[in-house]
Amino acid sequence: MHVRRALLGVVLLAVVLQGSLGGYAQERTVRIGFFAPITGPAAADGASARQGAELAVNEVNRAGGAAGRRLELIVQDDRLNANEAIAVSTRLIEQDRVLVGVSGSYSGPTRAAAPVWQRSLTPLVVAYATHPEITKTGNYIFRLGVLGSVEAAAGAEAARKLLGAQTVVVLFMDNDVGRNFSASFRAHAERIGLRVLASEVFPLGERDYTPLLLKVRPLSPDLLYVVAYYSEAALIARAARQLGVRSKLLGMQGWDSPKFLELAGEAAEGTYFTTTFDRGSTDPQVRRFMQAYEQPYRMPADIVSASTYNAIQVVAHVLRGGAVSKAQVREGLARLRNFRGILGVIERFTPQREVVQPVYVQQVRAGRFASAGAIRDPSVIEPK
Amino acid sequence: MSAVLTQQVAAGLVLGSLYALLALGLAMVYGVLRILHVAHAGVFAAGAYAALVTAPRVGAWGGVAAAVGVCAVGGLFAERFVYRPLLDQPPLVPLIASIGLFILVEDLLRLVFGPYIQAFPIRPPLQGLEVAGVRLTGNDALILATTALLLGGLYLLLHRTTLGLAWRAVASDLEVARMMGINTNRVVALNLAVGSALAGIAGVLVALYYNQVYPTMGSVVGYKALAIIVLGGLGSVLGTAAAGLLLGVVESLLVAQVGFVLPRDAIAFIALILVLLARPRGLVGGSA
Repeated sequence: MHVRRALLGVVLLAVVLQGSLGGYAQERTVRIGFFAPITGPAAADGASARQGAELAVNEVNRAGGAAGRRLELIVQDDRLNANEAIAVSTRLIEQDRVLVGVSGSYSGPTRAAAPVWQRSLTPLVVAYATHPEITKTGNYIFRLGVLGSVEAAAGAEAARKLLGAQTVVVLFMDNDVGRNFSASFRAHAERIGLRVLASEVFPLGERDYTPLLLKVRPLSPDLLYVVAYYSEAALIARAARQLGVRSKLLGMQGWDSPKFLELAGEAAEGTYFTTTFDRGSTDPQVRRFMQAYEQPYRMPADIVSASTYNAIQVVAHVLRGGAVSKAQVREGLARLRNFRGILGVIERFTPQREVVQPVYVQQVRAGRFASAGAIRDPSVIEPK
Repeated sequence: MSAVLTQQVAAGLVLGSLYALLALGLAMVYGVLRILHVAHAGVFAAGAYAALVTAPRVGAWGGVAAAVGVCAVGGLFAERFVYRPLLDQPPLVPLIASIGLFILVEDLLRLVFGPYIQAFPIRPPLQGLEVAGVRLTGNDALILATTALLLGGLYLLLHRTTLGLAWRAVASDLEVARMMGINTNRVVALNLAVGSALAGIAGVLVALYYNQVYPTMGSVVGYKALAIIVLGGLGSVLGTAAAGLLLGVVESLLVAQVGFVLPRDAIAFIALILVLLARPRGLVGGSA
């Protein structure tokens, strides 16, 4: 009897010790699960995403970690594939037992993976994917990138208020992002009295924009609003310059790459775009990030690397606030207030877990991105 | 014709010239070997990369020479080691080999030069000009002039030289030509070299025009070139050039008048289907 009781006691003690020791070990390092398109068609962005996240983790660890805990980044490749994103997310949660996840991927894989994180009640911070459905998955999914609808409204606001345009022609790519941006831009333009003379769609991957610009040139709008990724944007800027189009060019986040400057050459000069990364910011954090990034990776920081860097900083900030469990990390994110990161001040997350932060306008001057104002009006930047 | 319309036609001719240059090599290979040389699009991309890499070191003309050289050698290589050993196989076999070769070239370019789109280093110091109210940039003029020159040269080569005669003989019947004492292997090899060199020049011009070089730059133009050689009457040089130019103009006019109601590549294939329904042997149909 005594023997059995003693035995039970020993076993119980072992269990308790094991548990607390395990807990202790867990407390010393925090595992962050990260997925991005490391290989496949978006490998270039995948590389940027990974480098931005790694840089942030290294900086946090070098500065003594978050509340004394080391961060460990576990990187998985989703190959820009929805199924793969689900598989690697499951692995990160069940096998690697990460405390929190960061998506460094596009909308497609992130949208597919979000339910996996939600079901296991593991918080997921989405660095830059813009699809509106992602955050609707549930209360553990937070987005740091500005919604397409918000950025497009800010674009219309900037066209009218900052660039003084009264008439505009919209050119947009034929995909989810393009349609969403063009619809939101037009809606806000109507609200503020900016006249949209025409709206033209073009297929993704199109190379030759001369005929399309010849079609809209006779309308001579004050401004062309161009919803495109940087390679197409560069082609449009070049064709517009060659055809002598005099309208101002305003783009969106898809333009935000050093590659745009390289590919558009002198046609980039004087063009504008909206983004969440203000290169001309006077915040020393931004300068430091840009220098720290360029050295090891031998390429300038872009919006993708800045976004994943920012996402890790936000997670580290929440961990510094003392969050230990998944639920506490979720709480910490929901209660985040006025966090100053390299993408500016994040005011807070809305109850729908969308970020509230300014949208910046950049202009290309002398071959570099420069600040050209910001849209901070709450009625524009507050996600609806 | 209104000024706007002529401007649109001019834009179409520039685009069509690029199509024609790429499709010509394809038509020439089909003419003598009856093989759809899909890997031609890979040769084209390799030409652009050859110029991209060499031009900063040896200058613009050196870059063009490198593109032409790399492509000609690439074409010869494809003929000697892929097509010639497979000539007595059913046509599907060399076609599949060609597709394989194309994928190989694309992936090699990606592995060696990375997936990033790169800017093209050659910038010819050309001024734009205005002809009859049509505004042409320096690059536009360069593309139109180069295409006209190469087309003329190719026509003379085919119809005014002994080599051209041998060439046409091989195209009309390889076996009979061989029995007549023509060194068919040499003619076929030369054909591949010249056709591939044209692809190299097309690669440089496309890179120059768009200022973008990337591993998959051949794929879309490549498939369109296949449609063009069918439109041009499979193997006919003049027909191919005409079909390329026509397609460029039709695409540009459609986009400029109505916008992108459907992707322009769909336009090429719809035109292909319509033409084949009406004229099963292509627009020009028949001989070289």
